[in-house]
Amino acid sequence: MPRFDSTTGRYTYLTIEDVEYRLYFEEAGSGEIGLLLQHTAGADGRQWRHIMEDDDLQSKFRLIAYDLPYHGKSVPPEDLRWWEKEYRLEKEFLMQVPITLARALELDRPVYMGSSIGGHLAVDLALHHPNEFRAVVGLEASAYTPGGFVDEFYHPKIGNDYKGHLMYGMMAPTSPDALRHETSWVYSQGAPAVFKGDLYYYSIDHDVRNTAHAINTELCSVDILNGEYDWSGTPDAGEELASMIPGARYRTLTGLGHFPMSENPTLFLDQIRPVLDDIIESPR
Amino acid sequence: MFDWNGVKTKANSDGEFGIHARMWDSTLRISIGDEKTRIDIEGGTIREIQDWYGGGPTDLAISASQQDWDELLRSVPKPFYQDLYPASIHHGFEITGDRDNYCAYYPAIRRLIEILREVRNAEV
Repeated sequence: MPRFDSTTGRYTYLTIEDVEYRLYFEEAGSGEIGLLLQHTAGADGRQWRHIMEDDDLQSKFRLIAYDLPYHGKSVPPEDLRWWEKEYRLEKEFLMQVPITLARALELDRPVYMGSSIGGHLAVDLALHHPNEFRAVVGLEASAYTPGGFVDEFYHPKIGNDYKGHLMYGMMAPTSPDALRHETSWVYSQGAPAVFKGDLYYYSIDHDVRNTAHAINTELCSVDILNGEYDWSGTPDAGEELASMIPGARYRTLTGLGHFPMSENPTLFLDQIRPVLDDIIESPR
Repeated sequence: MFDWNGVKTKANSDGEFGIHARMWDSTLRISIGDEKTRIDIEGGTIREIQDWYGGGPTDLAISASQQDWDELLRSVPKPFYQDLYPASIHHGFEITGDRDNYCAYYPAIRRLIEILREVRNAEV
């Protein structure tokens, strides 16, 4: 008898900014509330594979992890001559991905959770589209993270090994070796241009220093959680961001780094479960 | 400070270091406070580790205070000492040399730091 995970994957077609994208997503769980899971820059939805298999979360949520266009199994669109222009992820486009996907899957005000660029996106969604989501959870999020959009992340002389191993150093030294290496491996598989292009959003296009105060957490709750060992989205940066948003909650993810869901899912689940339970119990 | 012979033996028998250091010809200078050490690498194998007497080319130099190195090499480092890159951003490590070579061989350098950590903590 073969052994299967309960997660299944398929493709859907989303039209964003008048372009059709074939988007890959994975799904697990039978809960009433949708939980959209956004990967980090330069990676894909595989980062969520352990979380997707959690029985408790599956009973409470319909878990959906997707690959952004140009990432993982979501190949570039056929109707754009994308190879003639350097890849760059911009905020307006990025926000439309989970919104359009949630509508396509007929999710009723789902919860959104993402890490790194996904953590930044949580805050942008709460700011610009609070009616689309009942709650957002930003992991490794900050108000502003300059300095990442640099040539060494897309350089003819520097291979993807560099990115993968740089990410290895963003994790907690106590996270299991195998999972740290798996996280690094996933990073090394991104198309060469994608990591730097994603960091355009991370380091330039995302900046809520002057706008975070306008987020209405009565409409869409905001939880920010940053890993103790995350040297980019530091605990200090996460706490500062939460302090800018009236009603936002902040926690440090103890013993975790920039990839809590993939570097040590057991420890992450211990710390995220009460956050998600609070969201379920809050009527929105 | 180190059992440098132990570092050389361990690195040259380490599968992960060997993979990441493939085709690497380089001279590294490690400065721990005022103590400077030269590591010569040929074809991904550490040929020699000796005190640095000055002179000669350096492809890559890593330097920090004794205190910073002690933090980097703890068996369980404190936040942002877990790797050389964050230790250079948030703490006192300085990395100089050819940037392309540094990036290309960052996986090997990262593993070498782990080997230093393992050797250091085996000594205690």
